[in-house]
Amino acid sequence: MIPVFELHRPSDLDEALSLMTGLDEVACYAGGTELIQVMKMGFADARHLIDLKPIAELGGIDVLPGGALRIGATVTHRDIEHSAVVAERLPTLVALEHHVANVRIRNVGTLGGNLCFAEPHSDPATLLVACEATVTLAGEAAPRRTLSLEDFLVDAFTTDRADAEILTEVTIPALAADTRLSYRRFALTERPAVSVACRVRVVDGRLADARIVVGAVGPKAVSCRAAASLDGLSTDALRKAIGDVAVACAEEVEPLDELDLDPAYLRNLVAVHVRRALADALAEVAA
Amino acid sequence: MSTGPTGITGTAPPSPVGERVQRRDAHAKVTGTAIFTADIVVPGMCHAQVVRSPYAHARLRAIRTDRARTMPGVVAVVTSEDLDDVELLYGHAVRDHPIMAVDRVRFAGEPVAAVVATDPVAAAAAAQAVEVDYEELPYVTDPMEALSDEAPVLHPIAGAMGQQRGFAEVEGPRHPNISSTSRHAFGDVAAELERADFVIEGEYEYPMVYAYAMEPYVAVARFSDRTLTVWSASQHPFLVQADLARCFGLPLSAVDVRVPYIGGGYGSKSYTKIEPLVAALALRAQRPVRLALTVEESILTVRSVPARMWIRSGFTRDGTLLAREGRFWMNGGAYAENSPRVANKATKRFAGPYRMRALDVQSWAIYTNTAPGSSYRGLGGPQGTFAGETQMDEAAERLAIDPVELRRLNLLRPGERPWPGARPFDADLHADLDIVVKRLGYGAPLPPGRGRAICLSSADAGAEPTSSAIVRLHADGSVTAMCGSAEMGQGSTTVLAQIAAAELGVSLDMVRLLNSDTSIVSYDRSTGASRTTTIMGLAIQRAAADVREQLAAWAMELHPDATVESERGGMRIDDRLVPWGEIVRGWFGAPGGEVVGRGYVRADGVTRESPLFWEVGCLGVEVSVERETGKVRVERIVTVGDVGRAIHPQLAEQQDIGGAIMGMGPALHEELRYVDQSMVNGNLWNYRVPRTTDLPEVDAVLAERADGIGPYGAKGSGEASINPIGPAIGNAVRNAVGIRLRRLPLTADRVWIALQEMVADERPSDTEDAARP
Amino acid sequence: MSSDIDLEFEVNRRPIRLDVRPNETLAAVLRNRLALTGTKVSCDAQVCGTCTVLVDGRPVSSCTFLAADARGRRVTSVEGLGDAETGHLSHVQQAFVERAAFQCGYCTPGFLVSATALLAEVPHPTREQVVEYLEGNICRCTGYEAIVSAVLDAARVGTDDGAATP
Repeated sequence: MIPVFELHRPSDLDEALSLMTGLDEVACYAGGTELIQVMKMGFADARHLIDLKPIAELGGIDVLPGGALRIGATVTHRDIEHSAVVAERLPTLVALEHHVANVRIRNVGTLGGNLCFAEPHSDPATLLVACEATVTLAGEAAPRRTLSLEDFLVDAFTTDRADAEILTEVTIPALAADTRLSYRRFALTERPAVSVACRVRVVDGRLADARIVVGAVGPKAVSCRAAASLDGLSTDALRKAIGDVAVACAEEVEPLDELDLDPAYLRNLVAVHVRRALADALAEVAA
Repeated sequence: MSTGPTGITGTAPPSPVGERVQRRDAHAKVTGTAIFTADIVVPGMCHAQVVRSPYAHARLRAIRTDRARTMPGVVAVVTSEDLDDVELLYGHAVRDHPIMAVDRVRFAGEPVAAVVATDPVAAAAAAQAVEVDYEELPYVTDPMEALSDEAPVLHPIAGAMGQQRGFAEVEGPRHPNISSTSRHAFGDVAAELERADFVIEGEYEYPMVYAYAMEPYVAVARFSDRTLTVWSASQHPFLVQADLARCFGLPLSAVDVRVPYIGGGYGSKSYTKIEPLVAALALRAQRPVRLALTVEESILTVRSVPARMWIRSGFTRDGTLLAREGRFWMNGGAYAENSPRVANKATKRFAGPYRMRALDVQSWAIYTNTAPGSSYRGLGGPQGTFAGETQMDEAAERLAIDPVELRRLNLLRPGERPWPGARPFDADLHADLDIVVKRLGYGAPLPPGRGRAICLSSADAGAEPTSSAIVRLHADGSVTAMCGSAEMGQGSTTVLAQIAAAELGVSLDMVRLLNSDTSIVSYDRSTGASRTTTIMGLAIQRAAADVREQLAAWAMELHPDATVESERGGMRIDDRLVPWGEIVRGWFGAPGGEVVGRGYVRADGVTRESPLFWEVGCLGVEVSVERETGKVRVERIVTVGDVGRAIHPQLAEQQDIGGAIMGMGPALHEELRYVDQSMVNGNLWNYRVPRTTDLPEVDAVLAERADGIGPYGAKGSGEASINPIGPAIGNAVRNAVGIRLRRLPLTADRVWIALQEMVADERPSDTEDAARP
Repeated sequence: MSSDIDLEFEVNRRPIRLDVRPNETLAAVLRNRLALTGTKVSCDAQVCGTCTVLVDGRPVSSCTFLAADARGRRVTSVEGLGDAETGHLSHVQQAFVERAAFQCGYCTPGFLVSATALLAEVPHPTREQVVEYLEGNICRCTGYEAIVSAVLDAARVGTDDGAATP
């Protein structure tokens, strides 16, 4: 049963921010797939809910000057999955969104809500951290601030968002030419047990700007330091080094204890999927 | 052909038996108009919320309900102290289960109090305001630990035996945490094992699982006019009626249990569940009360009974099975519930459909501070078969005999008695096995990482044959058949209507099937144990025969000089086929009237021998194993439904498909787990049941040899394929990648770890063993 | 204390106006306020799909969808799939009948509604697409085989002409 609350429908962001600052026990929502669920289960207390859906500036998918992709906080997973703009610029994100949760949650749940909830098993977070995405937060009496998604995600269910702040958009920088992006996930129950995103550029046959992000295993998506060892390698050398890099990434992850899975097995899953994601990225080179 | 409701000219309509007729409940279920218990609204109905213990074992020091009682909308707050006029204990095997905790709680989740309020939100809010003082006690959640000398004793005073029969008094001293012991034995096992050239033993485990009937427990109770009416999603309304009558000191005639469509049972809705609790609340509130549990609360109401099994089998060198023996330790939970029966059935269902000279199996249902354990599809069959059929394959490997051939060598033939005094075997599993071998492509080469296996099972099905039915033939020749069988999806309302139509030679649309209201239909013990087609089918046949007999007498009375003979669809009086309705109207001398036919079934005649029939499973699988992640995928299932006669072939096939897919869950990923006091994954985001994406290629065929005692040679269905699928998957994984796991589920991590250990031990991999099927 | 919301929306092609509490779910409004009990609730956690209804043609978990969020939108429940005037079943419903793609029937409304949305979006799905789309709906009785076949049958018959546009 959902506890009693007052519902507010501000027509613009200023009004929403004013409510967020002025009210006690307040939370904002768009789809509600996470918030309403935890309220039902007694894990969250909110006496006031702010519906962000009517606020136009929080929606929309745009290409910014310079080629960055801006996705509004209230854009649903389904909208991203079916967006021609995203399909053209970031097809890996489209493919990822196709597998988020189930079709009902994709129809209602939003990217902004997903990232603010900071569930460890979030698929989008893993890929977007690999893309060096940023999030923008608005506060009532403060200028907007933008920070990397990686910094925004502090811990399991914990972000850098202040209580009265509202996340307005996610911005994904334009991918440099010759960028390969791949994503792999593996699920044993409802949510993925491991997710891996790999971004790498291939310039003159050599790797650059490699990022390998592992999510769902630890409290938050982790950009692995081991990826740095890929920079400068030739693609041939990478093929030989893939196994070691994958194992090194697996060592960097601190598994959560929830499913009572053997840590050695979890690390194996990470290594396997890092390998697969890297291989996928390499295969793109041939194309 | 029928010319309409009042006339039959010429021949009776063809029998619908064996036809894929439209299900009776199809229209209601696809339009959303089918009524389930959650849809029942009774005028003045209030809503209840249960307060549950967070502790696994604790004394109840005090329960303070003052604050809750004064909250808005609250009608009553009830604890066991408010129920002096109610017999608090129930339990059909052991009467150990209080409606609400009395002086102590025995599992985390046990009801200690309940609030009744005008709406569910008010009830939930007031439930939060109930204060309970617990004094924690040492607890035990592991059944082996529960048998140690230091273990806390859950029931210092042993419960009285319940009304369920068939459990012998336990010989010798026993640990107080054993609720029940069963032993199934014949011959001299020690002597046979002495003779054996080869003896193999091992330990096997089958997990604790949640049946997950998608409709959670829900019931509505109302006291009025000195009658107690309870609407409940119950598979056994008459057994519930008996418990309610006893608990509330009422005659059976004053207790009415009504069962709308049940949203899934699989055994989890058998026997009494929340009905006495809801009735007690209605008694105190003096208003009708509705209690609807969540899925999380339902998992804590009952779960399945896991088994830890040690078994041993002895063979001669040529593979002849001489003897099997076993010891099963089964975690029955805080209250016995149906775990004694499950433990008993495990002893009967582990040895398999094989000839042997001796058998000795003993099982213990053990109390632990966990949710009560009860029936789950197959009742001991999935557990026992996993042990027996896994060991069969292990024996085959060691004897260097093909596992299918080893089974064939020992497989019972129709007519042989599986054990002394048992009904002769009524299934031709040799023929069934041929079908599966062929359709699976057993023996054909497979790519690496893939494996096949075929397993068999045999279960003593049917439970007790106590039943009755009423068939009423109306003045227009239409029929109402009334029976206590619950429609929980298996299609009983359709199948039984088909039988009634066939027996009276009327078209199916002239038959109405009324079921599951104890104030209207006559006694049937239960819906479960795959018994309904056979037992209720026989009852309907007998009731129909009673109708025809009375109509013959009436016809002779009306036409004393004519030759009267009963035919399908009417009475042949001299040369004319007179429709039934005409005889009814003639006898009454009025436009109205009816014939009431009765059919009784008890353990005599064809149903005297036990079991009623042998429910056999014959199932082959092909699996693929991804070594890197340990993930096992079932690629193909071939299963034979040996049902005697399929009254409705589509429904019979569906039972085998549904059971097989359900059984994939415990085989691959389902396991309820306890950490410290609590069940940690009793919810659907941490407990994964099979999904569409798990669906393999399924080939389900029927074998109909009219070898059962049910109508037209029918046997039953529903609990066949779930027995062999677990070991079939385990054996197929062995054949695919060489690991031998004796504990289900074969989760990806367990498979992967076993693969690593195998490589580490440098045991031969299966790629060297080209003979693998 | 909370203020009621004046909710105007459409349910099964009928305009509805109700006062709802903010914390009332769409499932509760359908079942308890509008007597549309065809929509069932099982897991209450958006996992099982039993409570699925369509909002503007798209499946949502009505157990966790605020009724207030349905304002101005078209809701379709299982009762709205067939033709209300003639009583004719939709192609999907008819296919489920013919394949007996149900047993206890508790999950059936959720599957019907989901399958209807799928076929509106992808009129001729492959078997793989059907399996994938319905992964979020649980059935315990049938083992899914008959359900997948029924949806493919319905797709073969063609799109609904006249009956229930979701």
